[in-house]
Amino acid sequence: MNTPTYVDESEELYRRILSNKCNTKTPPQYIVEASGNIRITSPAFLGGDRPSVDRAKKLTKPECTKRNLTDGVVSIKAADIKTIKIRNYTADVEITPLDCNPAHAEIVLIPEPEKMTRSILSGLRDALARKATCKIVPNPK
Amino acid sequence: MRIIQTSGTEVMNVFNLPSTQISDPSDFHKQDEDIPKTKVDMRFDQPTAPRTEVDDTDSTPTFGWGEDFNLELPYPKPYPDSAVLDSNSTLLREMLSEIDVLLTNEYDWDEIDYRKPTVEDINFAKDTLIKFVTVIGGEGCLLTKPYISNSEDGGAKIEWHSDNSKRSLYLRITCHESVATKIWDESDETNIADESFSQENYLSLWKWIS
Repeated sequence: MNTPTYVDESEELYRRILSNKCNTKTPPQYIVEASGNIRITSPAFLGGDRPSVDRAKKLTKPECTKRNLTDGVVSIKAADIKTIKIRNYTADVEITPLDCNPAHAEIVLIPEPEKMTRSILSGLRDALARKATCKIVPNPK
Repeated sequence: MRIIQTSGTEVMNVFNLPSTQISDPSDFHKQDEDIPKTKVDMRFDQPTAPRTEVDDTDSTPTFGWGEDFNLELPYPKPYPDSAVLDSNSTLLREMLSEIDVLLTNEYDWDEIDYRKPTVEDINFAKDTLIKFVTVIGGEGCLLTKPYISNSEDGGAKIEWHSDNSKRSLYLRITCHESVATKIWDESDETNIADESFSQENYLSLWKWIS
C-alpha cells in the first residue's frame, strides 16, 4: 500500500455544488443571504466519509469541476482545511488521482478515525462549509 | 382572566400597574424602579363601583377578592426591554414556522444518510427553541435570525454565524438528543467542540455567539 501524500497548503481546491432549484435530493448546499452574499452550507460536502475535491492546479479552469450546466463550484484553500482540528484529529487533503479525474483528491482526518461517527463527520462538514467560498454561482435555469 | 367592568365604560386595571402610555423607553425604566422585580405581591380588593362581568368563561387564574397571591414572572430581574421581547417574539414565530417546514421536505434520506424527521422530533425542537428564546430574552438578549435546516440525526439544525468573532454555533435538536457544536478560529486553528444543549447552558451559548 502506497504511503498517502497530501496537497501543499498553497493549493486551491474545488468542489461542485447543486443549484437549489434543481436539487431535490439534499438540503440546500448554499444560501443567498440578504446582502447577496452566498454562504455555503454543510450539505455541500455530503457524500461519504472522505469528501472529494478537485485540485485547481490540475484543471484548466474551475468549470471543469461542474457536471451539469446548472452546477456551481466552491473553492477552499488547502491551508484552511489543514487548520481544522476536531477532537484529536486534524484535517488534510490526500492526493487520490483517478483514471477519469487526475485532479481528484479527498479530505481526510489524520489519524484516520477507527470509526467515523456522525458527530465527527457533521463537525467536519460544518467546518468545511465555513471555509468554502463560491467560485461559480449555480445557475438556476 | 376575569375582566371586570365598572358601570361606565372604564375597564379596571386589575393588576394595578401604571397605565400611562410609555412613549420613551427611559420612562419604562423609571416606572420600573417602583415595581418589585422577580415577584410581584398583589392583593385584589373588591371594587366599590358597580360591576359587570364581561367574560367569565375563562377563569384561569382565579383569585378571590381580598386574597393575596404571588405572580411569578417568566423572566428574572430586571425586566428586559420590551422592544427586545417583541423582536424576539416575532423572530421566534418565523423560526417555528421554518421548523414546521422541515417535516415536509422530501430528500433522498438514505442516499445522504440523514434520518427523516418525525413529528416528535419537530415538536420537541419547537418546544426547546421556545424555552431557549425565553431564557435569553429574559436576560435582555436580542435574538438574531439563524439558518434552519434538517439535521443529520432528524429534527432541526439551527445555526448562527458571527463573522466578526469568527465563531459559529450549530444546534441539532431531536427528541433523542440535543447537541450544540461550537466552531471557532483561533491562532491559525479551527476548533470544533460539542456539548449537550440544555437549559443550563442556553445563556452561555448565546453569549458566546453574540
